[in-house]
Amino acid sequence: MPSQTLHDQVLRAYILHLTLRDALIPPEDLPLTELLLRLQADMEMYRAIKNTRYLNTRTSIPKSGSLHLAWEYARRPEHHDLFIQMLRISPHTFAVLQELIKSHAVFQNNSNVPQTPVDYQLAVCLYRMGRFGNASSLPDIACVAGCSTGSVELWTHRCITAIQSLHDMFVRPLTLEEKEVEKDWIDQHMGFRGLWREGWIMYDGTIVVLYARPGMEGDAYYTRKCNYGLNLQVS
Amino acid sequence: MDYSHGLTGAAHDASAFEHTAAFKYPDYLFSGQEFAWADSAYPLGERVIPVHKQPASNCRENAIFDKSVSHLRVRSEHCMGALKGCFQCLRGLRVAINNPDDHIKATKWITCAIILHNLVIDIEGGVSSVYFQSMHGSNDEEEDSGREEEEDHEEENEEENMGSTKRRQLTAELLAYRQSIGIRF
Repeated sequence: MPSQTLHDQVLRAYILHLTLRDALIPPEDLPLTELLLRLQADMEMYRAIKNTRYLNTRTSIPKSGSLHLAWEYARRPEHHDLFIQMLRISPHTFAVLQELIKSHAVFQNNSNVPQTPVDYQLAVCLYRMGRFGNASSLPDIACVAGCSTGSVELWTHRCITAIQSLHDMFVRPLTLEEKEVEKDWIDQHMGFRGLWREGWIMYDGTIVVLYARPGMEGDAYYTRKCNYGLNLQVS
Repeated sequence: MDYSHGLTGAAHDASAFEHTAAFKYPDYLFSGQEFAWADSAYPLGERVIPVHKQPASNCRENAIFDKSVSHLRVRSEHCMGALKGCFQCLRGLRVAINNPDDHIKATKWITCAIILHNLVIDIEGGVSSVYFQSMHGSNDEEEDSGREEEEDHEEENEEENMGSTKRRQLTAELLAYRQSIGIRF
């Protein structure tokens, strides 16, 4: 069952309160003016619950990320392995990727408040893509990135949209020359030339494991390796 | 280069393969005699040559063939290792699937990982993938033995015939080569 929002909870509690009140003090006994006033008060209350955006008191959460270390690492070649450890790709590739996606529409807004720089958003996205288990949970990522959990979700979503626009540039059939390279590799590996070299592509399936059983039709995701996942075919 | 995702984990490799470009639009990827290697979970066809399944793979010639193919195919297992080692979110995708949109969202993660993987290879060459291979244990990337599927192959269709002819030809070639360099049968 999907979890209830706080608004729903408060509203339900209020309605329960109304029912109990009317059961204990039957409204028939009250004068009409009193009833009208009460109805008005109830309606006001209902509207107030609906329109109040934050029902809890809001406190600011102290934030201090450590993701900025990535830029420090990128400066010196001997620290590049730390950069890769953090963001899974080399600083050079990171720069190229950022250059490719930075003009994408998702990073534009029509507002006086500018978005967080693209490189930071991309770094959070990559950091998240390189983690699994509880290291990839939103609070943990937010803690490392020094931002709110909502920002993590928003930034990853933006970056994923932007990266997807690069699909056709990087996922494409091989050119004839590239095929020839693959075929030569087979020749070299086998030691003879023949029909074998025509098999330049290999297919394999794998399971992308999910962290938990899906709420929707969970059984369909159950795999032969006794976990829940998605099937992926790659060549 | 080619991939298909979106099917749930319960789907068998063979049925998932039917959604790839190689199956749907073979002429887009292959020309002439070209074909793809696959493991025993896949159906035999003109464009797909899998290794032999259980009863057949006990035969000596087929075993030699399978072994040679496995030596080639280990590359694609390495590819998986590199993909999952680099983008470890694929080892435990933290997307709650509660409605069809969430499912699409989950597949977008996979697409992204594949695009980035290709981008990294294009820019850095194969260096980094070797580095990441070791990070993903070989635990779940073992070869599918195909033992779980022992279907009857009574209804041999034309497609399969072409495939098995091709596979026999490949086996013959391999055996001839082994003989020529002096490995005893």
